[in-house]
Amino acid sequence: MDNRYIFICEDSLEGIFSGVYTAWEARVGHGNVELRTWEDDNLELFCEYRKVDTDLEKAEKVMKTLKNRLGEGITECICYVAASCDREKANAIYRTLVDCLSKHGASYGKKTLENRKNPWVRKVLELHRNVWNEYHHYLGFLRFRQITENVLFSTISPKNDILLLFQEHFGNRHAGEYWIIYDDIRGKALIHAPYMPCSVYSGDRTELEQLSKMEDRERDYEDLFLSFCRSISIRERENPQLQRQNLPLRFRAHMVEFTKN
Amino acid sequence: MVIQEQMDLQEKLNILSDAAKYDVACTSSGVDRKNNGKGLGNCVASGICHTFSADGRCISLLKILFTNECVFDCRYCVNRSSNDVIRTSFTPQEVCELTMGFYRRNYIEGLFLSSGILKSPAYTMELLFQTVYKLRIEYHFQGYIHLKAIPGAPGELIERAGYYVDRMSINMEFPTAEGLRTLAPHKSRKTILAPMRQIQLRADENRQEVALYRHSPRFVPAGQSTQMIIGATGENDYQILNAAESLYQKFELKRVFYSAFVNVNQDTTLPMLPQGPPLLREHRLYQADWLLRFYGFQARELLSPEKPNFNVLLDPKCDWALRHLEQFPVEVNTADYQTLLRVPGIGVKSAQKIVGARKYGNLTFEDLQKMRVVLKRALYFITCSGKMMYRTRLEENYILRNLLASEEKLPVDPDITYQQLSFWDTGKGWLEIHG
Repeated sequence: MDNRYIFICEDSLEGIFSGVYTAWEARVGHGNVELRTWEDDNLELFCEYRKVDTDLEKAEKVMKTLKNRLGEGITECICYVAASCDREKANAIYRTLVDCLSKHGASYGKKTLENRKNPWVRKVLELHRNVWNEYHHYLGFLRFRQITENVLFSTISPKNDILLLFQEHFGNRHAGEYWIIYDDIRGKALIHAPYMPCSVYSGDRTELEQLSKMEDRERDYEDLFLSFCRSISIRERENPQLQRQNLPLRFRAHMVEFTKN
Repeated sequence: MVIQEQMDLQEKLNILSDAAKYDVACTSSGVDRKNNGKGLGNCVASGICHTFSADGRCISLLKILFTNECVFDCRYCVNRSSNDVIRTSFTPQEVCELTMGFYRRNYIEGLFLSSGILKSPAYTMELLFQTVYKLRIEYHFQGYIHLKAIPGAPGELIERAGYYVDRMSINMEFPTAEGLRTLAPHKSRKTILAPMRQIQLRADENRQEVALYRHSPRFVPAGQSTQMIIGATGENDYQILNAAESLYQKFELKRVFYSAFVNVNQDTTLPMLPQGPPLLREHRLYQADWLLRFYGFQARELLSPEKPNFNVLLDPKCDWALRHLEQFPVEVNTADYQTLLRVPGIGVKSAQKIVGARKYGNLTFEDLQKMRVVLKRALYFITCSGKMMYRTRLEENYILRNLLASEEKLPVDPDITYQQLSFWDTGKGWLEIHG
């Protein structure tokens, strides 16, 4: 029996792509490779564990290959999957890329990801949908508070690591504003200054926590919005179950119309 | 008569959003626009829901009336001139500030501005125009704006406003002309359809201008929509669906909305509806509307003058399939996309998945399940490599009984039974014996 090789990489897009590069380059047979972003306390038998250091050059090479050979669409999909909270994501990405890039893969030479007969391709598409849905929900459900004269602050608690995805949408929409989006689960924040690219801050949590407790300077708007949400509902059609289905409870913790009474 | 002159913004917002809530449209989709670097906001083609109210409907736009001081006396409307309700109006400035304040905090995706008829249609339309002009030009707002065109307003005002908004709509109110005549005496088919046609023609011209000169101003880029009230007059589903179909085909509307009638005025000419608004009927109409727009169905396939109403127990597609069993079963591995779309239980997403995945090999029922194609309804109508999933009969009554047995619970009048049950025909009997 062949030895299995488990490659352990860092839990980030660059980390996973470095892992993909290293595992591919190791030439131990695609079937024997497993890519992981986590370490187990219990080691398996007949397994060789290899730790992969994140190497930006390797990650860049993988990214370039994906863009050239598979196109922007699939590349974007893979990047979304890398932000997922699923434990199998790195392995799913590796196996999907084998299906697309290896000469023996069923999707070789095709620029669409639709081979749903392959369980790993299914997994990648499912994770992509999951991450994209959460991201899209947050585009609407995220709430800013004006904590100083001109700074907008927002707290989110997403399941997937979607913080970086917001830079394009809100960077464009609030181009001329200072804003901060704080991911209170991972303790990092996306910071934007007018007409500048975003930056990520993942240092001291306490400062961000303090900021997240500050109230809106112009509280009127919160009250106005709360009463708007109440008066817009039609009493004869009330349906809390439908409301819960469309807007799950986990999003409501940071939404002003549900936290304020 | 205006009794109270001064009213604070909160009260105004309460009254004028409460008055606007019977307008259904709250979509922010259909246009993709980047921020030009000068102001606040952009638009996303898919639209974004920002919250959901207690009735489960999405709140994506700040939906308000400009004023509820209305001179029209439409019998179904809470703001009709003969009603004794508190009347108030916003100023253009107040609307702009509210929109900007909400939008900055990411509460909303834009503004939905409708209005009662203050003094005359022309006067009201002018006010609405001033408001959206101010919002776009002075406040540099680049989010979504949905504006109601006022029936009977002069054409040039409607056209001028169209360059500052993303979507315009004029409510049809009723699918039949006589419904409109009795319940909305100040409105007529002509004053509703004329501006609708005008917007359509102008938008067509504008598309050609934009194709030629990329930066020319865009006229109503997200198209127009309309709304019909369901269950206030005696019209049947066939009439409603035909009206909707001709609106889609002849007026190129983006959406037709259906609004289950809520009797707010207790008017003698209107039905009482003790069981509440006809929500299930509204639901069936929306399902049929989707069949028209995305599934290649036509109104006359779904209903006919002999069978003018939808079966409340079954969705329109199932109902159609049961009446056309000669077209089934469909072979999943070879049927074309349009045929797959007509299978109950297979929607646009599933059909796309199937068409994509079968390039890589024959699909089995197990594959379909793993691809999350829902087989609950589809299994009676499809084969994989020539085999059905279970032993089933291709017979109307049999399939109907099984579909109803596994359907979500619907409010069924216990007195109505589809067919007398016999010992051998209980619910999922055949499956228990042979499955």
